[in-house]
Amino acid sequence: MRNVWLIACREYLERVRTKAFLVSVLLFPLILTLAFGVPAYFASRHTPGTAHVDVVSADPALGTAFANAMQANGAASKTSITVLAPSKDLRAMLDAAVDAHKISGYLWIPDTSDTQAEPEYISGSAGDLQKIAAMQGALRQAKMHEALEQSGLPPQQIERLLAPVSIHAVQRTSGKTSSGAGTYIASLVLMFLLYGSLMGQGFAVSRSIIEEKNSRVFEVMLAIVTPEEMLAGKLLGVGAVGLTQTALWLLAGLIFSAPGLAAVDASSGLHLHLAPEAMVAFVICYVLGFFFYSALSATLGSMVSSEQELQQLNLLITLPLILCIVFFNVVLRDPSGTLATVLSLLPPFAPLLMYLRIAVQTPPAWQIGLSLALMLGGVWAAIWLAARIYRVGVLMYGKRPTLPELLRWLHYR
Amino acid sequence: MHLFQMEQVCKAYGAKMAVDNLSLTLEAGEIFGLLGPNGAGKTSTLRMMMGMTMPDRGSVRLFDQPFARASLRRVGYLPEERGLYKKMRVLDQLVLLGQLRGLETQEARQRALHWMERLEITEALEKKAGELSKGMQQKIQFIATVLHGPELLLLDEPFSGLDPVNALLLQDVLLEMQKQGKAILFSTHRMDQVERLCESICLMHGGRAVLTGRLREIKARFPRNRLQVDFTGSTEFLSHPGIASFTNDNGRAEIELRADADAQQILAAAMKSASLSRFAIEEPTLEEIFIQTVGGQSHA
Repeated sequence: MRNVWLIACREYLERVRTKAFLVSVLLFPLILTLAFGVPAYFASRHTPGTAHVDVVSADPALGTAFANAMQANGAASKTSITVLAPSKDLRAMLDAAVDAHKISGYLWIPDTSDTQAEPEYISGSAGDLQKIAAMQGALRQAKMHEALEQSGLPPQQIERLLAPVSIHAVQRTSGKTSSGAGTYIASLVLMFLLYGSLMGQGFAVSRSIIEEKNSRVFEVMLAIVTPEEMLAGKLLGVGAVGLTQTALWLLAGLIFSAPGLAAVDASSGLHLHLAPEAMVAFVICYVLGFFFYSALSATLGSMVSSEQELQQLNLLITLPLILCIVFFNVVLRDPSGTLATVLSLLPPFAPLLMYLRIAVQTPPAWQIGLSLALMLGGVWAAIWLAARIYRVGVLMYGKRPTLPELLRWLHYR
Repeated sequence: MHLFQMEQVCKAYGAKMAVDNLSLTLEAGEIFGLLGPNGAGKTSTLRMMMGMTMPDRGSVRLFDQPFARASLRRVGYLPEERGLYKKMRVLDQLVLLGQLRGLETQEARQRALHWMERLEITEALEKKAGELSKGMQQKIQFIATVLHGPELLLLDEPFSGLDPVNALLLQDVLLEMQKQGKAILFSTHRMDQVERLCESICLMHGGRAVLTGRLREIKARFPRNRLQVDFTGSTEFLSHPGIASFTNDNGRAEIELRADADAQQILAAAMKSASLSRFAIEEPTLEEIFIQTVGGQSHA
C-alpha cells in the first residue's frame, strides 16, 4: 500500500506542478467568466436613454399607444421614444439623423388605409432582433388597443385584456421546488464537465503510460514494485488530479461568475440551482466513470508504443462518451423514456446519462441501484483487464499485438 | 550458500526460444560476466532473475530460497535501457526509488547525496533527468541500483555510454563492492572489462550457454597456439611446417600454430636464422574465444 501511495503522490505532484495543469485550471473559469460575466457587465453599464427611436405615424393615437406598450413591456427602459407626424421632408431628415448617429433608428408606420405597406424600421444596425421583436409586440398591442377602443370596450377592460403575461418554470423534486431552467443549465454544465474531464483524464493516463514505456522507466520501476502497484498508483494519482481540477473549476465557477449569475438572476429570474443529491451523484459518477474509462485507457496505452497509434485506437474509448453527448437531448426531453432508461443503465453511458437523469428528474431507486451495480461491475472488469494487459504490454516494444496475442496475454502468469 | 541460482531455465516468446536450458550460480564476493551477441538472451535472463517475467520451465532461487518478491529488496537491478522520469529532479527521483525500497525519506536522501559525491556527479543534483547527458543518466541510474545496499547486483550493460574515466570510476566501485562480499553479475559486449573484473563467465548464444565457468579454466581449454616474435634477420623460420598462418610487420610477427605443432621447435628454428628480442606464447584473449565460439553463427 505504501508503494501505491508513493507512486500516486509522484504522479499527482508531477501533474499538478505542470504549466498545462495551471492553464487548464485557469482557462475554464476564464471562459465561464467571459460567457456570463462580460455580457452582464456591459448590460449593467448600458444606461437608459442612450438609444433613441422616433416613431412616425399619421395616427398619433397609435404612436402614443405604441410608446406606452413599449414602456409597459419594459423595453423602453433602454429606449426613449418620440412620436412624430409624417411630413414632406421628414423621411430625408430622419435618414440623415440615422446616418449622423443622432438617433438609433426610426419606425415608419404607414397609413392604415394602405393595407399593402408594412411598417419599416430603419436603423444603423441591422441585427437588433431583440428590439425589433419588442417593437413588433408593442405595435401589435397598440393596434389591438386601438381596435378594441373603437369597438367601444371600457379602457379598464382593455388594460386587463392586454396585460403582459409570463410563465415561470418551476421544478418539483421530492417536495422541494426550484427553478426548472436553472437546474437544466446547471445539470448540463456539470455533464459537459464530466464529459471533458473523463475524456481528458483517460487520455492523460494512456499518454503517461506510453511515455513511461518509451523512456523505459518501467524497466526500473518494475524491478522494485509490482505492475499492479504501478497501475493502481497511476490511476489514483491521475484521478486525484482530475478531482482537484474539477473541484477548482466548480469553486472558481461559483466565485468568478457570481456577478454574472446575479445579473442573470435579476433579468430573468433564473436561479442556477443543483440539489445536494445531484451533487453527490456527480461525485459518484465522476469517480466510477473515471476508473472505468481510465482503466480502459491504461489498457490501450500499454498495448501501443506511440501516441500516433494511440490516437488511431482512442476512438474506441471516446466513442461511448461522444454518444452520450449525442443522446443527452433525448434524455433531457424524456428522462424516463425507454432509450434514456436503457442507456443510463449501461456502464459506458451511465456515468454521464444516469447523472443527467438524476439531476433533472429523480429516476426510480431500483434503476439507480442497478445502474450503480452495473457501473461497479464495469469498473471491476475494466481494472481486471487493464492489470492483465498492462503487466505484459509495458515490457513489449515495437509491434502492436494482434487480438489472439492479446487474448494470450490475459492468461500469462 | 549460493546468492543466486538458476536451474535449467527455459523461456520462449512465441516460437522463439529466448532462453534455452540455462543454469547459473553466483556466490558472495563474486563478479560474474554474462556475455553474448545481441539477441543472445541476456536481457531475458536478467528479467527472469528479477521476476519481471516468469520462466516457462526451471527454477530461480534467490538467497537460497525459491524466488519471492520480498527477496528483491536485497537485489539491485540496472536495466539495459536507461529509464528515468525525464521531468523529475534527479534527487527527488533517487529519494523516491529509495522510498519504494523501504528506506525512510531522510535516509534515502543522505545515501543519494553520498553516492552522488562518490560518483562525482553532484552538479546534477537539482537538474531534471531529461537535461542530463547519457553518461550522467547512467551514473544516476547506477546510484538508484545500489541506493538500498543490495547484496546481489544485476547490471545490464553497466559500462555503456561511459567515457574511459567514468568507466574506471565504476570499475573501482564494483571492485570495492566485491570486497564487501557482494555478488555482482553484469552483461556486456566489452571483453576488456570482463577480463579485468570477472572470475566466472557465461557466454550465451541463441538462448543457450555455450561456455560457462571460471575464466581461467575456460582459457586453459583453448589451445595456446599464438606466438608473438620480435626479431631482426632472416624470415626463413616463418616457413616452418608447424605454422598455419602468420603476419610479419617489420620484424614483429604474429603466428598461429597448427594444432599438432610445438612452440619450442619454432623457437629453435627462429634462433638459427634470426636474432630475437622477444618470443611469447600468448594465451587466447576472451575476444578471440568469443569470436571463435560465436562468430560465423551470429549472422545465421
